Amino acid sequence: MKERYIREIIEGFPYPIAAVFVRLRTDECLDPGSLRLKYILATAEAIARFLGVVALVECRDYLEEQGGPPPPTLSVDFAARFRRITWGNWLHFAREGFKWLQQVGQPGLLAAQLADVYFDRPSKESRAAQALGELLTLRNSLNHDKIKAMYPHEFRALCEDAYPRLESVLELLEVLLDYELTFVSQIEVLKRRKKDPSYWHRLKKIQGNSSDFLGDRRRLGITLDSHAVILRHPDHDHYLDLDPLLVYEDEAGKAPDIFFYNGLKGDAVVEYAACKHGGQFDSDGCARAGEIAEEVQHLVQLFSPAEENRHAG
Amino acid sequence: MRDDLDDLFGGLVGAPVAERPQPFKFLDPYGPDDRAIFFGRESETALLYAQFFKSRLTLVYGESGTGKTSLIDCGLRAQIPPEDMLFIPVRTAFEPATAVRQALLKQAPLAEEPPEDLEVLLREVIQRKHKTLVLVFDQFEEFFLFQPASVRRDFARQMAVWLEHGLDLRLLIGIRQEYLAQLTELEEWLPDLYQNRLWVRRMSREQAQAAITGPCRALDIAIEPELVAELLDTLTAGGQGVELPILQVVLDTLYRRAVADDAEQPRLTHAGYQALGQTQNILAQFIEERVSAYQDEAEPARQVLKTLVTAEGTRRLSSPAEMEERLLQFGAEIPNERLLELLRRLVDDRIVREDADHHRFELRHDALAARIWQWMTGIEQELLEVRQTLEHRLREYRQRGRLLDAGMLDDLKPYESRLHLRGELADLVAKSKQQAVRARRRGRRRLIAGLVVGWAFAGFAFVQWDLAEQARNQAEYQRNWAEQEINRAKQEKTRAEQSLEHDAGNTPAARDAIMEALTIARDSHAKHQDEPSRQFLAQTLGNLSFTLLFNRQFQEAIATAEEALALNPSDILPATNQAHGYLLSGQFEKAEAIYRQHARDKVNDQQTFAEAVLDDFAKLRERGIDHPDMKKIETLLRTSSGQP
Repeated sequence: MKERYIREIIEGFPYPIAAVFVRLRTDECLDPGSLRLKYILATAEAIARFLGVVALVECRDYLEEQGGPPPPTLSVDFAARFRRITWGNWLHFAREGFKWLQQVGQPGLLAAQLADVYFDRPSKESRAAQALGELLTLRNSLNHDKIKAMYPHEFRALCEDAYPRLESVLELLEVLLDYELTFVSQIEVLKRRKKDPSYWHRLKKIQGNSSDFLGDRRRLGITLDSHAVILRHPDHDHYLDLDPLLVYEDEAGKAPDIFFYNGLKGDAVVEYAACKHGGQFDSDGCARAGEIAEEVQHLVQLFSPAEENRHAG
Repeated sequence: MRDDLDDLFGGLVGAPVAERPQPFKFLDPYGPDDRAIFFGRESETALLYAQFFKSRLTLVYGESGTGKTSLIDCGLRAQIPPEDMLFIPVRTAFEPATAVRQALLKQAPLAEEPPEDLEVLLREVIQRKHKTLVLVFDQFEEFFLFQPASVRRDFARQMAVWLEHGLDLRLLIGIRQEYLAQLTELEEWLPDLYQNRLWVRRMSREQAQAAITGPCRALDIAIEPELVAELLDTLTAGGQGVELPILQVVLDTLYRRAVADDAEQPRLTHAGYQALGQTQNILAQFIEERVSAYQDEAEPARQVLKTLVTAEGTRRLSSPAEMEERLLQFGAEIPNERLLELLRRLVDDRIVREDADHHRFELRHDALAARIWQWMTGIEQELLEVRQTLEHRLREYRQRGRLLDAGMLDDLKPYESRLHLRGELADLVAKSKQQAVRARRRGRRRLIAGLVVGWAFAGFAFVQWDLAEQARNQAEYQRNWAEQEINRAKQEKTRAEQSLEHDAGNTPAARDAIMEALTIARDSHAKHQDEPSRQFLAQTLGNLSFTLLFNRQFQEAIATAEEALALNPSDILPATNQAHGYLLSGQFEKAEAIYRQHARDKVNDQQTFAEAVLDDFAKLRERGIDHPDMKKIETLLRTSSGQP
């Protein structure tokens, strides 16, 4: 992978991916040892999670707009997979979500482009998708006891095997550089007499590896969703609201950070884990507990209506 | 789930644990590797961690000895993987921009020549390391103790620029709470300075209990509950919270004794604690005991320790050369080799710590500095303050080229010989004195020049005034004199007139009196050449010509009258005498011409020319002087003036 593209990833990829990937460039991780292997796998996992989140919200938006049932490939076992989310489950949601959107001809915001990343042709997984799968297989082959018994040369071999796969995924995800990941921290409405209201959005930019999340104030032609992490193309009005699968939280965790959905506790409490330094928190401990619970329940109902009906029955 | 990877690799990564870790830190702060024995600050650590990520500028403040450094260096740093952030400790006892540069290059040495611009260097290190850079300005009170205002302003401006330019950089400031207010001066450049702050207070009883028992539990060291209870009772007796340096020194001392008793299974006992004596004085006791053990070297060691204390009673980083110079002001001359030997001993005894990178030494804790400061006499403390002020001004001089002012030099005078200044400080004082001398000279020259100009002006004015005064006096004098002369002349004239009136035959007496008056009038006119003297002379001449008529000296009378008329043509009385002279000397035409010219004039307010002529003719006739043409003139004048 070219150095220039590596810098672009570090500075321009969505924070959940860039923040993990950048660690591979540090002195501590340059040697192909256990720490490097850890972050190769962590980056692959972050990619799988991000793709899974995008796929699910694209499918959610389509289902809400068009009505109708979700595809069986997604709805079967959805609740179980979603409740106890894993790297493998994220990959499953990404693969099945993009495949279905491709089949129904829904371009969405990113769906068409990511479907191209994911599939060389309908139903034939791309090299990137295969590499993600192989990295997942590698991760699943490891356990604590095995790792403790491994020699340095074995870590070296694993790193040398894993990193090119990660590179191949990242190379195909160049499209992500065209999108902005931001958090809508505040929307101000300005209304003058006999004039249409204008909406000023305070956005926190969550691109690149830095966790500073620098603020920006913009007047947009559209009104974005409050307190939502959104993905949008600067030239398009359409945007993807990634809530409640990716959220920004500055109080509930150990520190302000972007948190990803990390499973359900009961029916309404979501477990969140930070992309980098925010630790973990449960949604019932944060100010948006009600909204999050509502959104998550809606997702579950949307993707597994039969199962929900079964629960209801 | 994400934690799987952390769990999976958890035991493999991270710093290796020391083989025989010490449970307590004595007077040293806890560092990133001390996580296993760092207890009692869990809540503050969590707060600091959250604060730290809320803003790129975090302020940690608290009393000395509350453990700010440990909280930052161990509590916070242990939470952040080294692959995420690069912590660079910077001491601002030195020129801060240079200190940042040196610290950066130490942590992230560059193969090539480092860029001159500090911001460029920061950016380069961040890019090269691929980590967030954290500049930790611990003991930031040194910034105010050792840096002049100009340096402080410049550095605050630089920090603001770094933050504005979006470098992946965080600033963490640790400062003693006594200096918190002074930070306000940086608010101009760092307006959010106080927004993101954490106050570290003394440990509560519960926290102190965790700090005592936690490390023992972690390292499997036995500690008697009675000891814990009594120690906590003693340390919290004042209700002000626990003084950590005392706690640490007590625990470390007990632990070392326990190890000496049983290295395999050390046990911290209540009896051992009671044997220690006064807990609150343990620091003083500790340092006294250690230094006393130096025997002959005890006093020099005390003097060396004094050089490591600021005028404010805090510790300071010093090089051996600086210490050597400062020692002189405490009356001790210790050669370099002996000084280094003493320092090594003080380091071994855990009183002093060495910063090996800069070959500088400092006391292990501010708590020791406070004790040592108490050893000093009043004059020693004053000397310390003066030297510190001088060092402050030296930095300003390096920065701005500003020498000491006259006030500072005056303040310095009583201490100068005892300060034994050398090197740059001595140069600064010498240069300042030279400048002061030059300034005084310049001032004196300016004063003299000013005085000269002033004097010249005043002299000129005075001379002018004096001249004017002299002239005025002279004029006054002359006027008085002239008046006296006139009076005298008038008296003479009156006498002459009286002589003429009462003694018609005695005209020579009148003439002499008039001549006397004329002499005075001529002198006065020759001397003054002014209008009064001129008029007076003319009048006197007129009187003389009149007298000369009575002495039948008609030609002289005519000449004298003409002289009088030449001096004052407006006075026509002399013209009557002139005409009389012509008439009585047989020159009727000339006389008639004059009588006709003035026939209708007035000689004064009371008398006309005709009246005066007719009156004179009557007086002349009384004195026997008559002329046949006089009747013609009388007729002429009566006709011309309309008199009967």
